[in-house]
Amino acid sequence: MIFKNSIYFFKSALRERAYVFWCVVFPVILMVILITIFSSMYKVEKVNFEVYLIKSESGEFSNIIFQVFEDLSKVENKVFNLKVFKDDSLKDKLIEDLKRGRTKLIVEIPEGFDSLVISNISMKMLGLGENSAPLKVYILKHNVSSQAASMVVRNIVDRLNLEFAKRMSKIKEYEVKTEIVGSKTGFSYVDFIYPGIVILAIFFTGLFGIGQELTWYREGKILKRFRITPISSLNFFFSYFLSRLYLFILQALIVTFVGKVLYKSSVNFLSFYFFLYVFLAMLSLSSMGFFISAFSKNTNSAGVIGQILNFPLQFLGGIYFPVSDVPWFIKWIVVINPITYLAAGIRDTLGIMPSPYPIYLTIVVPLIYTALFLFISIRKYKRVELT
Amino acid sequence: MKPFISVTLYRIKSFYRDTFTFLFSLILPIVFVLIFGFVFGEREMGSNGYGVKIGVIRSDVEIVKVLGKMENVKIFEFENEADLRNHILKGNIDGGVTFDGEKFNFIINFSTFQQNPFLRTFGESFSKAYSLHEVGMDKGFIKMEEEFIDPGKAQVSSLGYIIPGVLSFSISSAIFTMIALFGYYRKRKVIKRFAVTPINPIIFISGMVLGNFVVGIFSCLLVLLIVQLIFHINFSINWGFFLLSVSSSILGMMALGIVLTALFREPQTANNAGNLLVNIMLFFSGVYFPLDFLPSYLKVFAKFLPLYYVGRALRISLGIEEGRSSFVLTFSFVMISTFLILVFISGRNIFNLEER
Repeated sequence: MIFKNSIYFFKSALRERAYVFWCVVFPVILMVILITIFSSMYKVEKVNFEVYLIKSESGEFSNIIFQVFEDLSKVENKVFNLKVFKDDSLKDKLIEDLKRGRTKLIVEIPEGFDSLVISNISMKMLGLGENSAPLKVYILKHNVSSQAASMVVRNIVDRLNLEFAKRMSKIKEYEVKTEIVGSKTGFSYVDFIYPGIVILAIFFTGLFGIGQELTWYREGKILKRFRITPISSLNFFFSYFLSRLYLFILQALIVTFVGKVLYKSSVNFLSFYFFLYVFLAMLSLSSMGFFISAFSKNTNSAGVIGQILNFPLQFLGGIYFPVSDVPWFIKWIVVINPITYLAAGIRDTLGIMPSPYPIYLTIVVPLIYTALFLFISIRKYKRVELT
Repeated sequence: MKPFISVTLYRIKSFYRDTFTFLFSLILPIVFVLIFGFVFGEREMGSNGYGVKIGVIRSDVEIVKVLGKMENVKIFEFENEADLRNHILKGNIDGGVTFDGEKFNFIINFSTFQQNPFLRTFGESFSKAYSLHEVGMDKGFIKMEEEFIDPGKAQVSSLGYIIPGVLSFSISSAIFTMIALFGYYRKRKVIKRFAVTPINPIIFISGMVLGNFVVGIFSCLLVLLIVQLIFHINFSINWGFFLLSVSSSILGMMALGIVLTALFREPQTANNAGNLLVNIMLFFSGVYFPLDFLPSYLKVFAKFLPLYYVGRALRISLGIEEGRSSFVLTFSFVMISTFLILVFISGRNIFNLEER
């Protein structure tokens, strides 16, 4: 009987197009959008920047710098789209171009640059100290491309310094290995966001699906009508939550399909921990929906409560960005948020990102929430139904 | 005139009674400001783009010396590598440098890398600086002098740069007011009932539009006020342009709501489509996230989204971004014209459809 009813509830949910859209399709769309935007930011491949070079000098060192920039603008995978200006009186106009986004960076070889480099070399040879020649770089604030382009220029300057020094002295170069700690597979945005989206999809269903739907049942006195049917309250709730379990599995499968097949995530979705945290998310977030329905006067207020909780819990649960170092007056939302523990736990145990909390807490806290939400909701439901 | 004012006032009052609309237009933008403000507000980078806390093993004296000469690096010393790694893992420091005599290992904390992917170049810069340090040429021959140029007249933090995005979110709620007016009201034949009242349906629609418009402006001004009060962001506001941008953006979003109502007969479907569109626009129009690294086809796509222009017009008006006044004027003209044309066509249709 419970199984049969659960199938009915499940089919009924699938017939509701808005429900399917927001709980199943939307998380997938969100995942695709986030991966499209952020993956390219972390890879920084095949990116080239519009760069202006102001070169009013024509000495040896200015020409070397010019040559390096030009070489990096010619190759197949060029880094710069270079425009060279020889008149430095144009600087104000070029800065206007930078502000208007026509270029990402301005590099200026200032007047007297060559003589400064030569004097610097002479001073170094005579052991009279150092006075480096400045290469002026204008960067646009709040512009990621501009900052990235400046990093490339910084590397060029570092390399040039090393090459010049090599001509004067024997220099030993060292290899550098960059290691990102906390992840078994290095940084992958797809791996980072995929388990988060699985939790988010379950969160949406708990908040808007279960919360609003159960309130609607209560508001329409549908729950009371069940009393005159052979279906007991217990049967009703078991069937209902079993149907949501099917929905959660469907959500997890679809998000997993997109993550694994389309974006080649390396996350092992067959691991015990993946199942454990998905199950914990199902328990705690669906009981949160139950809790909302118990305290909402009507469907509209359930929607409003859902919206109020949605953004703070979503953004301060660490799904999209780390939230461990937020100020104390906002930290409490992070600490009481069950999503914080679910997202941290699933990522840590899957080797994606270390959890800032002990692992036992990431299991215990969602379980406490489940028990608390269920206890209060059942009591409240009993009272409401009696009255 | 009196019925028009009454309808307008009714709409403004009903806005505060309709908890969902009130929440979406007024509370959520404020919640957004607070979350983004407190989460991102303090994470300003140093002048060299790094601004990082780097750990090192105490016995690596030379590494400490080299790091000490690098700009915007705060050094933390630890007894051994295990201790260093533990602090990086916990997120107490952004990264660390170890040296085995032949090779440097630059260890980055996962979260730090996620927030600042360009930090990956730090290791390379450090190793070159170390090589120069070994031969006593710490300063090198050339130094890079960085000057950060504010894109507009106002000098604002990253949070200040996000605010037009939050305002865009608030403005985009105008889409739903038109879906309610032209979708739900049509479905429930609300406007038809005005045939038996002395109020002209056109007056009703105009009053409703004006009511929504006033609420939209008020919501934007309130967000701006809260931002100024809590985060002390000093915009260089051109009030004429700001009010023009906000007004025309609200009308433009209303026009989009009308288009959705025309495309989807069922108001609930139009509402869902509107919600999806708002989400896509918020992500792809560059109001929250930079578009610089997107593939070129997505950059082109972004330029077809009205919120891209709303964000830009607001940034220019708030003095965050440099731009020509002709951009704001042209943008406003297009938004207002689109609204007027669509409201005229849909206004006629709404009565025809209800009469059928």
